[in-house]
Amino acid sequence: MSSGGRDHRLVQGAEQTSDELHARVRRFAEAWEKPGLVARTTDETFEALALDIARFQTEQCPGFARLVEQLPTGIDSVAAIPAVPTDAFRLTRVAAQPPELDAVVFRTSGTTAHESGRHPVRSLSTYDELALRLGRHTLFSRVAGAAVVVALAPRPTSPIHSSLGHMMRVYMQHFDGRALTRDPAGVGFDVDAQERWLVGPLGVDVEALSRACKIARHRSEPLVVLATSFALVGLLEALDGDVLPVPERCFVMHTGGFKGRSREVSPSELRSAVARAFRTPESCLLGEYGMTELTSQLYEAWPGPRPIEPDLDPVRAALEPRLSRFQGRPGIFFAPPWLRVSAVDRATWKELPDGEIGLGRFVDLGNVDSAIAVQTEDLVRVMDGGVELLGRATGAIARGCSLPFEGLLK
Amino acid sequence: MSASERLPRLHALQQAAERIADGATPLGKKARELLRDSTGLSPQGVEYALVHCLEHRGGRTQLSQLARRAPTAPRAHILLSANVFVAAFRAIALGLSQSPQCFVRASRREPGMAELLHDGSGGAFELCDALSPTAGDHFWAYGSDQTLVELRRSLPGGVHLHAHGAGMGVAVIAERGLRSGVPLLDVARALARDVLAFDQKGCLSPRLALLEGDAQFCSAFAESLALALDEAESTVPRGTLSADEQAEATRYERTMTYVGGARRAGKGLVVLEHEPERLFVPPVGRYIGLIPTGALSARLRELSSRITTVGVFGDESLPGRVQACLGERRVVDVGKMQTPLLDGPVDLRTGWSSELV
Repeated sequence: MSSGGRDHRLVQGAEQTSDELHARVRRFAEAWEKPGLVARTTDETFEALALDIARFQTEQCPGFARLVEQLPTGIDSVAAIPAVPTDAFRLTRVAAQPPELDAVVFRTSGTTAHESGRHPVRSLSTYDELALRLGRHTLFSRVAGAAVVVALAPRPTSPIHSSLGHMMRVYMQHFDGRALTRDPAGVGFDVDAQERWLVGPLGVDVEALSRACKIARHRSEPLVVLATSFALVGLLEALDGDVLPVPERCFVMHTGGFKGRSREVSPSELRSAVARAFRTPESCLLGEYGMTELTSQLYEAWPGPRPIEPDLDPVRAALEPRLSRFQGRPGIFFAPPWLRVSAVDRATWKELPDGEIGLGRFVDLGNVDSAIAVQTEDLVRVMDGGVELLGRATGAIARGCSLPFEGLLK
Repeated sequence: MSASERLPRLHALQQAAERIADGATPLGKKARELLRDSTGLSPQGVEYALVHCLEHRGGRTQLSQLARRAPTAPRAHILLSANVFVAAFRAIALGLSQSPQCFVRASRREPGMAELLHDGSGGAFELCDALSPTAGDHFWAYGSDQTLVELRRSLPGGVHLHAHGAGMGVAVIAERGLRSGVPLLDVARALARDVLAFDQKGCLSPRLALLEGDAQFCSAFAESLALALDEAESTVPRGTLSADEQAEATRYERTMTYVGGARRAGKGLVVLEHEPERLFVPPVGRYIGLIPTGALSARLRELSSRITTVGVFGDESLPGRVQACLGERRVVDVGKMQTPLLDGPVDLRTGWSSELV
C-alpha cells in the first residue's frame, strides 16, 4: 500500500491496447449475436478478455494496481480480479486515460451522497454497441420494424452526464430515428427535441406523451416509453386514474428507484398501475438495471412470448432456458454474456454460492478503461443465471454511542 | 435531599470501580473474564480500558463536586449503551449524584459492567429489566440516535430526558506545536492511545485528525501515526469486529486502497486525504482519516454536531480557537481523549441540560 495523489498516467501504447481491447469486446458480443458469422474469427472467452482487461488496468490505473498488489496470488481468475468499490468513483478518478482523452464523464445522480460519482469514458462506441445489442434482444425484441420511442425523463444536459440519458438517446436514434410527427418524411430527426423528453421542470408532460401516443397510433407503430420509475410515479399522479390514448402495442422500460424522493411505491403496485395507464399487459413492462459505474445493463427476464423470428436470434435462444425459468417473475434480471454478476459476502467480498444473498459484484467487459470489476452496496441473489435485486444494503446498524460510518461529509 | 446524603452511594460505587480496575481483586478478575467475552476487545484491550479509562481515581472532593453540580431528582433512571463498558460507571455516578433512588437498565449486549458495579457497591443502585419513569424523574439515555428517537416516543410526559446520542472525537494537530520540542512520534503515540481504546467504538474515539501544516508535515505525521498504531497492535491488539463492522471496514479499506493515501497501521489504516478539506469519516476498528486543512474553523463547524471531544496538539491558542468554533466541548491534550474528568456528563453537546418530555 502506498501513498496516493493524482493517479493519471498514460503508458505509451496504452491507447492502442485499449482500442484493441474495445474491439475484442465488441467482437465477443457480436459473436454471441451471430455465431455462425463471427465464431470462426474469434475464439474469445469471457475469462480471457476479463483477465486481459484487468492486466491493462493494472498497468494504467495505480489505484487498481494497489488492489492487485494485495492479492496473495495475483490475478489468476475472474473471481480473483479485485473489484473497485463504487465509493471510489466518488472519491477519485477511475480511469486508465488522462482527462483530456475523456469522450464523456457520466455522473451519478448524487441524491444519496454529498458528492456524485463519476465514470469517465474514453470511447462510447463500445457502450453504444453493447446497449444496442442487448436492447435488440430484450426491450425491442417484439418490435418488428419501426417504433415511436420517447423518454419519460428530462432532456439530457450538454455535455451529457447521465449514462441513462445517453442510453435513451442511443435507443431513440437507432430504433426510431425519425421526427416525431405524423408524417416524418422529409423532416429532420433531432434526438434532443423537447417533445421526446417528457419530464420538464413542471414534472411529466402528459400532453406531449398523449401526442406521441397518437402519432404512434396514426402510424400503426408500437410506442416504446423509456422511463425512470420516479417519472412513472409522477405520470400516474398526473393522470389521476385516466388512461393514455395508446396505440395497439405499447412497451415501457422502467429503471431506477426512489432514493431520496418524497414518495416510494412498491414495484408490484407501480407495475400494475402503469399497465393500466398504458392499457398494456404487464408483460409489456420491462425493468432495466444500470449503474453509472457500469457500461452494460441488465433486464428483467422477458415474460412475454417467444420472439418473432427465434431461429434468427441465437442470443435469445441461448438465453431462453434462463428466461423461461423466470418468466412471469418480475424483479429477476439477467445479464448479457459480456456482464457477470455474483453475490459476495459483505465482510470478506468472497463469492457466495448461488441462492445466497450478498453484495452485488459486477464484472463488466464494457468497462475497458475504468474498472473491469465493480463492487456495489446493492444486495443481490443469483439464481440459475437470474439475478434478484434486493435493494441497497443498509450500513451497520447503529449501536451504542459511536458515530456510524458516515463516509463523505462534504 | 442534600449532596452529603447522596455521597455514600457514590463512594460505594467508586470503591466498586477501584476493585474492578484492580486485576488482583476477585471483582477485577471477574470483570476481565466477563468483558473479554462480551465486548469483542482483546484481553489487552479490556485491561487497557479498565486501567486507563475507568474513572475510578476521582477522590472524595471530586465526587462531592459532582453531587453539588447535579440537578436533584426524585428518581434517576439510566439506560446504558454497549461499546464503551467503562461508561457505565460514569453514567451511574451521574444518576446517583442526582438521587439515591437510581434505576439502571444495562445494555443487553454488554450487561456485565453494570452487574459488577451493582454487586461491588453493595447495591448502591437498582438493576432493572425495564425502566418505569414517572413525571418529575430524570432519565439518562445513552445510545444510537435511532434508539433515542424511539425512546422519546415511549416516555411518559413530565420526564426530564437527558439524551446522549452518537458522536465521535476529532484530533487537531498543528505543526506549530513541534516548536515546543515534542517529537512527532510522541504526538502520534498519544493519538494512537486515543484510537486504540475500545477499538474506536466509543463516542470519544477520534476518527478524524485535522492537520494544520505543510504537506511534508502531514506526510510525516501519517507515517508516525501508522508506526505508533503498529506498535499499539503488538501491545494492545485489536479485538474482533462484528459482522457489520467488518463489512464497513472491508469497504473502507478497499476504497481507500484504490483512492490512495492509505497506510497499514496494525489491523487498521491511517489514510492521509489527498483531496484538501474533504471529510470522509472512517468506520470503527482503528481507522483514522487525516485531513490536511487550511480552514480549521470551517471544518470544525461542519463536524460540530458530531463532535463530543477534541484532542489538540499545537500552540497555546489552539484550544481557544477550537472552543470558539464548537462552543461547549471537551478539549484536551491529544492522548487524553479517553480519560475525561469525572465532572459531569462526558458529552457537553447537551451537558447537564435535559428536555422535558
